Amino acid sequence: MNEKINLKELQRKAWRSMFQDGLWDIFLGLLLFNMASGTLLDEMRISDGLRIGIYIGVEVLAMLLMFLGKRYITMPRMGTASFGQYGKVKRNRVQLLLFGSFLLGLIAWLAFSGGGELGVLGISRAYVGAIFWVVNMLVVFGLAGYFLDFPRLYLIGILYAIPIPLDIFIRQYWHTDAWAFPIFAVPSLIILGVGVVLFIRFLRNYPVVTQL
Amino acid sequence: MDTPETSSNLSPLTDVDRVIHEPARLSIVALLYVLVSADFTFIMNQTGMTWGNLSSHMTKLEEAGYLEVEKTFKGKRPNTMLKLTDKGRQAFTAYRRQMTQFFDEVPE
Repeated sequence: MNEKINLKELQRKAWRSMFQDGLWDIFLGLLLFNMASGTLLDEMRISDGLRIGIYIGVEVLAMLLMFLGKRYITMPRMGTASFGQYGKVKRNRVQLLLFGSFLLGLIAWLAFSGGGELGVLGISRAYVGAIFWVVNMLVVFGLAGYFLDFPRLYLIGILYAIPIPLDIFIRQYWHTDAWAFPIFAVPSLIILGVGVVLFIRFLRNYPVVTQL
Repeated sequence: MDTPETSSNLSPLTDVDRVIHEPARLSIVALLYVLVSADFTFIMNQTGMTWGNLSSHMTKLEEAGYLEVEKTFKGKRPNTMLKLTDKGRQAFTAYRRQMTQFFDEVPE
């Protein structure tokens, strides 16, 4: 029984090492920071098209950064491994989860965007949207963290869940949007900070190896 | 005084596969047993071995027919992929069984 547990632990340790380079944290931090910069763009007198263009551009840049960072910086230092069925099951679960979350998010955006109240419930659409956002973020990041065996995603999920309801709350009760940028920027900088520290530590611990 | 019967009780240990039994090679084989394949750098980082050490153990495992080594290039960089052969998997399974059996039978 003991050696069974140890082999599982060996496999788990090898799998978890794939997330120790901090690049996922940097990527997710950048996505949230993009939402923060979106609040600044809202205040500028630019067209919706340009605003969306900038937003998508930064998202693509973050994705590109992660892909290139993995390919040219961390993979040559850490090496690569194929986990077979073990990795495939984990990846499939997360892909299904992200697809479901995207679909639900789209439905929620269509249902709750715009002002006014929800007729049946008599509560603000913005509140319902915010509740939906919190639940979605906690469930998606929580389950992804569990499926991928990547516990930092639990913290990232909480940091993603906070800004939107807090922003709505402050706008509603203090009638100001002055706090919008820091509300989004602070959690994103926490995630980015963790990612950068992990990345620097990774570079120190894993020198480039010339293979045989 | 040892009797022939006592010596035969030790035979599972003396018959053990010495290629796998060496601790460094055991850690390589155990790691590759739970993976489909991995490259040289990954194994080196996971086992904490030096380049030369891993290289010499890799050669011994390859000579025993337990390891399949594929040398390719990733862009301009050489890449060495390691994979346990069926013979290697069977040998590790047999080793596990043998060791478990031996230690299970040792009285407390």
